[in-house]
Amino acid sequence: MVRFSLTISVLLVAIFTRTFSVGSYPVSLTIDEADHAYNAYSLLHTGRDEWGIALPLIFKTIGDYTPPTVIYSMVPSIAIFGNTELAARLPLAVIGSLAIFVWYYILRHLHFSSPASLLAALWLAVLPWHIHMSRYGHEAIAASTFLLLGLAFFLKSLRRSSFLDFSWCLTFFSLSVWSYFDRLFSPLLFIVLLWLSRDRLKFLFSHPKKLLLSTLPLFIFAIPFFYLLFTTPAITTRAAATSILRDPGLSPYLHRGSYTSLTQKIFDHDLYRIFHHWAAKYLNYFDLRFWFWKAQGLTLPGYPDIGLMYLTDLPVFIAGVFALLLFRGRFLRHLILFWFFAGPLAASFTMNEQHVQRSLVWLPFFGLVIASGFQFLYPRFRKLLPIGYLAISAISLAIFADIYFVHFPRFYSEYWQYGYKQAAQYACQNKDRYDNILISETFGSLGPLITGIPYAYVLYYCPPDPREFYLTRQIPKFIFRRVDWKQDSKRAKALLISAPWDYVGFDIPYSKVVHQVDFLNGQPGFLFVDTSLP
Amino acid sequence: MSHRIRLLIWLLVISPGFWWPVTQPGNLVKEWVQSPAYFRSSFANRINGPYLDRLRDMQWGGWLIHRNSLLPKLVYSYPMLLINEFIELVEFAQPRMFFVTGDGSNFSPPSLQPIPVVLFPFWFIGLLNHIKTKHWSEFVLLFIFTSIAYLIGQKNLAFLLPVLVIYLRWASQGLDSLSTHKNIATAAVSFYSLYAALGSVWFGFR
Repeated sequence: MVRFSLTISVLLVAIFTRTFSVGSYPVSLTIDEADHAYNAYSLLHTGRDEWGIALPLIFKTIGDYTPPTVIYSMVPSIAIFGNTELAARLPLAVIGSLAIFVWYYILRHLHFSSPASLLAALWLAVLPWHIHMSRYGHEAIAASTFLLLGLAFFLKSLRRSSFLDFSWCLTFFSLSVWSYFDRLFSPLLFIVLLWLSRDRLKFLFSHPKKLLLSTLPLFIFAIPFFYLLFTTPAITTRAAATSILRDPGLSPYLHRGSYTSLTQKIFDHDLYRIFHHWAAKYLNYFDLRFWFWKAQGLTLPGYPDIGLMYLTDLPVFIAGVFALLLFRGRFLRHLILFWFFAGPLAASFTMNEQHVQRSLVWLPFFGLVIASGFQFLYPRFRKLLPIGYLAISAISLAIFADIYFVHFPRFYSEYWQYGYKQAAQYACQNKDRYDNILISETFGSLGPLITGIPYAYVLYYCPPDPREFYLTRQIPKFIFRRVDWKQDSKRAKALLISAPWDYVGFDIPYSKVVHQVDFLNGQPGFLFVDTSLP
Repeated sequence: MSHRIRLLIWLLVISPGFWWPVTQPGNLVKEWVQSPAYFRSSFANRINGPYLDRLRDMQWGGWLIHRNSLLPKLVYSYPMLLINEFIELVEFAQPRMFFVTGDGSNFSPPSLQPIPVVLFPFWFIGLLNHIKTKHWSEFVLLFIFTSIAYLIGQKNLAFLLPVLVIYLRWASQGLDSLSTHKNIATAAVSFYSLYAALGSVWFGFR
């Protein structure tokens, strides 16, 4: 009973940290969130996405082809809560919270003691990396939870020699791929699990019919995947858009077949360049500062930030490494070693450095080491460890909360497209007064540094008839481009929503400015100019 | 001479990061002679640097928030500066610099690997073996040499050469601990290193 209560308490902590003020922090929906949410809204009302495709297997969205799981999961939430931030974020916050329960279950199946598993579940419940990802609707969090579910059912099928559990395992691994296409890690992990447990999987071959039936989910999910892969640009587009080959640090230096000499072809070959560049990116993930001190990018460069984990997790992590080397079994050691090297592999093949979202698949590696640390430390500090860890976690969480709720909004509101919601809502309330409403795609307190997609926000906060939109791809009265005051001021009844520097050099009467939205750093973000006023 | 020592010497021979400083003794000595000046400048920068200003900014939350409570004052203060400095120290031993990027100075030209990157998995195995066998002496040496470079504030191989040698020693032990295909692995590493080294010469003459 005590164990059950503690497990529920940890789960409640996880739900609280992922849902508290989730509609308000982060301060605005990202472009992807707004667009995914509108697609869910369109599905709810028409059964079609924003492009008019009925119940799509993949969503074209703003052109980057989004896997379906996240968007479908938003439909009931939008039906209940309407077109709000809460509706867009709640499904993934709940899926993220669920991961803590699954994680506890996995650890118990891997023969970690109950106290060690509970402490490791608490670690995940307050982990800044997982909390932030769960709160802003990134599809990687769904993929990560499905991956853990796949692993949980794999372990369960091993223990009970169950075909049904094996079938669930395949279903969840497939759902992981269908949640986030960068997640090719799932099939790789599945193959490694099969290899590591090959002796215990003999039961699968005892009933060929059952085996065939249990692998049915794999075919159900794989056939459409390969269909999309080979017949549409849906899956390759996304991979190509983020490929390492487009990295500005590499792309200009590639010869692309035009070498000037044989020695250049030998010593400066593109393959070597790509390998060298990739190796730098890959090794960049093996960085204690990234793991424990600065990773989330919640503050400006040079300011205190939060790592993937709290710095206070470092002693437990070190104890975990030590314990794994000395005590744990072969299966776990090999699994962790695989996860350690393969975790950042996919992320390192993309353009960005130390990418927090793309490396989310790495999380279970850290979790397993931390759990091993608790397993090692708990018998030695039976009384002190739970209370001590709880106290330290509370302090770490308080610091994270301060950074997340106080500093993150003031530093980065504009980078989270703050202002577009306000622009869309104001325009929606006043659209009858104007012939045209022009919203700029370029903004930023320091100049034209940020580009957004305002139509995604107008679609979500001021939704037109979805049928009309997918037929015309137009929102009546709305125009999305930068303001050209010389031309646009001639419009008789127009509302221009744009950054203040779009009017530099022009003498606009103050009376024409009917509204203003400031970024949370106090800098003016958008001026709302009414051309009909004198 | 034991097999492990022979292997370590061979890895030193095939690692460009060892040869760059060793073949520039003049520059090396010049760097060492400047250490006191480097130290003074680095120390002044650390205790009065921009990080402290940023901590103060976090304390009162910027002009818009302007808070004056005890908790932020406790959190964003000197202990955080010390922790940040400790992390900076650890960064001096980050494998990425030793295995791929180099330090960008004359002692390791950019885009050439001081230690051939293919040795990274063996370095990791060697590191784990050291923890497993509780051989802490090399960790102590690593800490001492990294601390010296950190205090001087120069993240380059003139001061981090001993760290490179320790890393090569771990890599040699990792390579040596392979139960099978040890010779094939050594030959592959050597071949790759030779290619990288010739590439380095080619880049130099280009």
